[in-house]
Amino acid sequence: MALTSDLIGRVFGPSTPTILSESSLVAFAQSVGFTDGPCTNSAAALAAGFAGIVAAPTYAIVLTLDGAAELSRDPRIGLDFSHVVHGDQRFSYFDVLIAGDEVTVLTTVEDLKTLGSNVVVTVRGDVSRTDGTLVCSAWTTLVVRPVGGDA
Amino acid sequence: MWVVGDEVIDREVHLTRTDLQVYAEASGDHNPIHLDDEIAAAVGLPGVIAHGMLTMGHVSRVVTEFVGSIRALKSLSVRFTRPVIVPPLSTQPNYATLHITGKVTAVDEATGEAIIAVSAIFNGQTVLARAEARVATP
Repeated sequence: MALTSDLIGRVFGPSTPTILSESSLVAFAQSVGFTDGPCTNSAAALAAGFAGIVAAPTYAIVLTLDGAAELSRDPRIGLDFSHVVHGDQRFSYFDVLIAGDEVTVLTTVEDLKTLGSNVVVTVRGDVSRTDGTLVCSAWTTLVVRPVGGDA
Repeated sequence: MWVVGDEVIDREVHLTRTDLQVYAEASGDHNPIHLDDEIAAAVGLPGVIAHGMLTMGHVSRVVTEFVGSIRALKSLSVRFTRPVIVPPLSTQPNYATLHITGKVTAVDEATGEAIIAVSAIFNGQTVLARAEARVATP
């Protein structure tokens, strides 16, 4: 199959449901500089009207990149992540993720094109709660350099 | 009400090697080009580079802090154009400085939303292109 336009429209998942832990949300938020407020402090989250700690906006990448990694786990596709550069990233938010939410990710290959010797692939990861509510979509564009080519 | 052209964000972020390790742990992205000088050099980089998503994470934070509520952030997009080289802890200074600014480029009174174009400068050069946030106006 390889990295060809046949992959456009291919869907991976939904992933196994995972429950968002407060500790993982707080550690991520602190790692991108949130020091206080609903992303790191449960009292602040409750005071702001949330049911618990709120995920930082880019936390969704922790969930969606694993879906993109499906492309590397399928030997017929053969995406080698050591030859991948993160080109573009976009998130659209329909709701927020809260500690305790049980979520799954559905990954769709939206676009794939060849630019010179590189392949540029865009995957969309839709993060939903297991009740079906779509919370966030994340578009990740990866630039895949040829294996054996210059770094 | 915000006005197109308003410069609404102007922040400096310092990134150290420790910050990269902390982000790697928190995000699960253990790509060694963000941690190991030799591996970074082996792929042709001038040094260890910050995760693009660490830069984007800080952008998301300063935008969220400006709009005042995480629910006000409706979308965020960036293109990663240049690496942010982070010096070893033994050097002075031992951090890379990101200068993040944001300017209102559109206000839609009908939807109550605005677009903030974001710039992130490292070492005098932009490291993001097409970076923008769509936010709900207060």
